[in-house]
Amino acid sequence: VTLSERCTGSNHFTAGSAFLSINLSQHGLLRTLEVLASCILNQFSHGPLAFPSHFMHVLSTITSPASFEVVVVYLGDNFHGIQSQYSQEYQNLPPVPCMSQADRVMESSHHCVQFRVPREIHKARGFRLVLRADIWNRVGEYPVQRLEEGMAVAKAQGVFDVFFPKPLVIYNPWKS
Amino acid sequence: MHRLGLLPLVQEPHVYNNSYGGRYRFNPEQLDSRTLRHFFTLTNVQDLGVDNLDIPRFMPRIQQYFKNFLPTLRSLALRDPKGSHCQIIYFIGLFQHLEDLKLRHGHSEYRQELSGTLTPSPLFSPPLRGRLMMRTILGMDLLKDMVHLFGGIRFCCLDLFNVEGVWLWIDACAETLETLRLYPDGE
Repeated sequence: VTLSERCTGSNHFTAGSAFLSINLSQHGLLRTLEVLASCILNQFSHGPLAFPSHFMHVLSTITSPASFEVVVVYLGDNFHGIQSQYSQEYQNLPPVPCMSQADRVMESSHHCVQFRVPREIHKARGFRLVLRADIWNRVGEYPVQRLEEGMAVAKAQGVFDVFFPKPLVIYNPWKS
Repeated sequence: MHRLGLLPLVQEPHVYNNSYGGRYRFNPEQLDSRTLRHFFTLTNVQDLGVDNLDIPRFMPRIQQYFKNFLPTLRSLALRDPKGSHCQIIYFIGLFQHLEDLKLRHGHSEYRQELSGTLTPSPLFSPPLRGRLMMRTILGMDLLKDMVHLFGGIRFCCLDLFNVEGVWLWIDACAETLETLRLYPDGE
């Protein structure tokens, strides 16, 4: 990757080359990488141009001695029936969808399957996994409950065995 | 709130844009004497958001309009501001305690530099040690001008999406960056 390509590289990494030019070894204070769940947890995202593999490359360049966190940011549309952003038109909708127990189990299983991606990424560099729900406050604890249920299933399957300390779930409500 | 005398307690006001067409601009004409009186009552603002700020229309007296925010403002969010890089930087430089900056552009007039317009140097170099969030920033003049006029950038958190030369921003914060948000593409 030439300097000019590097200079003009936006976040539209359709070719993936700009990602491969990243070197964060000079960022001595860096301790957190954030990434949207919809970007990194796509289980169908395989191959050399897939974002998880780019992310692994970036992670491998980090030399910061500080303990490191990867924060996977969940938005509303990562959960069944929740809108991504607050809007007036959603005012009259119930803040969380009415789900059957079977649907809840299915959603938890969905999250559980996705947690295998961070497990793979962990091979590039050790980190603490943080799952953060950035969702408008009207939704309440619903997304955290779904993630924690998914984590419980994943834990039982040993998906999180590689992570120490254990993954953390955080709710970061937006004001609506 | 004004009648109850609560405006001085407001900490996070936002001047919204109600039109998607981008024709609405926040300019001095929006501030009639009554609105201006309310505006000046906001004396404890820490987090200010302004959509479609028409900086050229406020110049050269922009400091007079925003003077009540100067001592307290810590976070500024500008959505589709109108003006050259230097004018935007001049506006940012009004706030001597500013830590966080959000800058979001659509596609419209951002590249229309106002050639021939002389903008004075910023009054202050704000600390800008907090979070920088930017969306759809074309070209690298903004980075160059910020580095030049503010003597470098020192953000500890970067969230940059669809920003040209994004890695130059990241490199410019090499000594201070603690948190970086990555995006794969234009989703």
